[in-house]
Amino acid sequence: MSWSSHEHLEKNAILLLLLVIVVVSIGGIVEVIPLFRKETVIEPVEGVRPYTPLELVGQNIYIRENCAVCHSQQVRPLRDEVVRYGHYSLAAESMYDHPFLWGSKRTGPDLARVGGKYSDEWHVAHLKEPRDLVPESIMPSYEFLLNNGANLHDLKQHLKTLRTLGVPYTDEMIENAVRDAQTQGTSVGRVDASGLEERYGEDVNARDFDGQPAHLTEMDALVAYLQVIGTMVDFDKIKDVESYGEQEEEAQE
Amino acid sequence: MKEFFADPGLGLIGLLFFFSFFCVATLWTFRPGGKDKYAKHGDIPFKENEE
Amino acid sequence: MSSAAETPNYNYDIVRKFTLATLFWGVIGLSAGVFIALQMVFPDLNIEPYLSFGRLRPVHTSAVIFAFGGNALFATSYYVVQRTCGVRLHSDKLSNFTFWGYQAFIVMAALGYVLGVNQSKEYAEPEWYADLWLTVVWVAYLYVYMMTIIKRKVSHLYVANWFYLAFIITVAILHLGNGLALPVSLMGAKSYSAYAGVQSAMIQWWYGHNAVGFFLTAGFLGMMYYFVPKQANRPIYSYRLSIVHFWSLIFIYMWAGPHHLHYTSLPDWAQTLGMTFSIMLWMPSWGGMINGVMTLSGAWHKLRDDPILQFMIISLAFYGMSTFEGPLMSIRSVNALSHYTEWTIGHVHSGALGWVGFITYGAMYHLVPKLWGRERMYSTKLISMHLWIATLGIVLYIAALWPAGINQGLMWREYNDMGFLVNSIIEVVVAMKPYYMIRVLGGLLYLTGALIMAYNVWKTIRGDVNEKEYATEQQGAAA
Repeated sequence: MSWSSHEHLEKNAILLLLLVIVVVSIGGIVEVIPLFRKETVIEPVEGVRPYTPLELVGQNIYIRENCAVCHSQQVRPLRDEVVRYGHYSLAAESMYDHPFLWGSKRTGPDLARVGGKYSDEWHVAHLKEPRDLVPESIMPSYEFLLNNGANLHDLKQHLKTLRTLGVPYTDEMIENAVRDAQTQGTSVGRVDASGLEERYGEDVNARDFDGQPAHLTEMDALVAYLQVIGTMVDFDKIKDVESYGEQEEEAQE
Repeated sequence: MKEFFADPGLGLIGLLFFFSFFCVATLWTFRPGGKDKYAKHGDIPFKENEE
Repeated sequence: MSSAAETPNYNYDIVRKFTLATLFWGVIGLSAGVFIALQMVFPDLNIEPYLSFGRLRPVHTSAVIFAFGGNALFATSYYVVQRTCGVRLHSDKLSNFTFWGYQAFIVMAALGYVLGVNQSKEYAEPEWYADLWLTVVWVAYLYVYMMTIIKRKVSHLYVANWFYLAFIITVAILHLGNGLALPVSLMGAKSYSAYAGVQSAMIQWWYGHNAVGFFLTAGFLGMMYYFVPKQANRPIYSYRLSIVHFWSLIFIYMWAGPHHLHYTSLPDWAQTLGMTFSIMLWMPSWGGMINGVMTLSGAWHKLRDDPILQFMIISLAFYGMSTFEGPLMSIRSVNALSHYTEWTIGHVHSGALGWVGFITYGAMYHLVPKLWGRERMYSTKLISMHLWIATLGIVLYIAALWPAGINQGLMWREYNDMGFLVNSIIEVVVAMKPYYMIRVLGGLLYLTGALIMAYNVWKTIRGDVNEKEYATEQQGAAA
């Protein structure tokens, strides 16, 4: 660029504006656009399914309370993290998270593999008063979740919105959203859960989560969500992914 | 894009390219001459109409 | 060029409003920061549901970045564009709208967080309705700014304006790109981001890193390129360097986002690109720092007894430090240790408290007497006091969080002879406590500095002059 042309630029504000737009756009275009060719970015993994309506309500409580500012959901392929938390996170595992909840800070532990690690009772007691179980904890208490009824009234609309954005909810799932949420949060045996299992798979956790069988609370929803995080993929089945992980760990040594 | 950035020679090419770019930019910035024109622009904040 | 006879009738009223808003939100944002820092030491201070750490953390970050920083950028950009273009700001009505509209956005966002309305995307927490409102305000801002430039009476557009312009337009692009979301219903607050998983992560950090790059860097560099020369009463060290600085900074910054996603599910090629460009970013950053600091070359004595200039030069030193630390932390192997730890928080604060805070204070101390038609600030001693209390605060803050973060990262990956992990997570949390205490102290000092400034500004606006200081100075001059 010769000097005289740059001087011209300094006198023409519109031209300057346009050139700034071009210059700042290049980086984003190169890095972002290729990611939308999903097949090259997200290796398809068996088991990842859209969240059940109750889990979705739980995830929205997780978002509302901003849990991600202290808890990441992304295990890196580093030796200590794999030992501490479990298999490192795969792209497919967060493909239905709108938005992603990987976080950027671990004031507390990572939660990408928290599902099934603790009992429901533990979660409820811990959320109610973290220091009852872990005296040194600095987590806020979330006792109020036990008193708030889970908000189900526009659940159908939530699923529809997500379907528009690409989450594969079927008509049937949308139609039964509220009933599925109620079914999932109720004690086994009291209701017929076959419809829920048909739609979301047999591994879906259907039970009273919060110890208040008569009420479907926000606590039910949040614990249902916590119990499913990181459990959808059966890692014993995916051998090639495992070996990839070992390579990464060696590279780190 | 994936294949392009996986090229092992890319690191060296990139390094040479950006380093030479850096050198040229530095030379251009501190080359002698043309000072007056710049000095005039740099003085703009001092030629305001004070009220 | 207009002749000296026809003095343009600058719109200072709007600049005064934004200046006061800057000080107000500064105190609010810093107080929120001190409060959540205390919550990390005394968890009983969490008052659920409304005042829990999770809900208050975005109140703190939004208040300091968008309310304090944003208002400072509005104030200074409106001041600088008028004075370097030699014309009154375009449309009083519209610029007034940007003021009230922007304050409304801040209140809307903060109320949302406390009531549990947020998108859980860092630095982009406001929900769709607030995002839309901000878009309207921002377009008005761009329009007012562009129209003023177009009407200018000085043919060359001074470099500070390029930085302001790049900041305004790029923030608009980032905000629209990252904010794309579908509301569940038009009557409700909740929306779902248009992006999921990996794409969502990449776009969020493309946004997040460039919120740092353009909101907290390019905009404040505009401030630096005007106020440092003015306060030093010397033109910028190298005008040519400022041109190189500008283009290389805005080009390279936009690539650096993926360094927030090292070792994640983001494809490796994107991580490598992010790391490469982050390291390259070191050069333009230091180019800018050198340009600012060297403006004083040959006149270093001015630094000795002008605390306003001291604010500016210390701010450039912090800018240089954090723009060296940033590229360092973006190297994958360093990031493996530093990511997820307090080190990141320390890094952010050396930039925010040191660079953004101090350049703003410097500009404000320069601005306030001019805006209210006073000869000088009420008390120069109080400026000095603010400077040193705040500097001590920053030193305590980062001296606590660097070792905290490194310690945290090392404790997480510590093995014993048997090959087992030594520390549980809660043991690491406990180890952080002393550092968190020191951080609170640092924050309190920094807040105290801001309160001293508020007092000093209030006295200046009232038209008071510190008699004792004035008398000593007169004596000094006489002797």
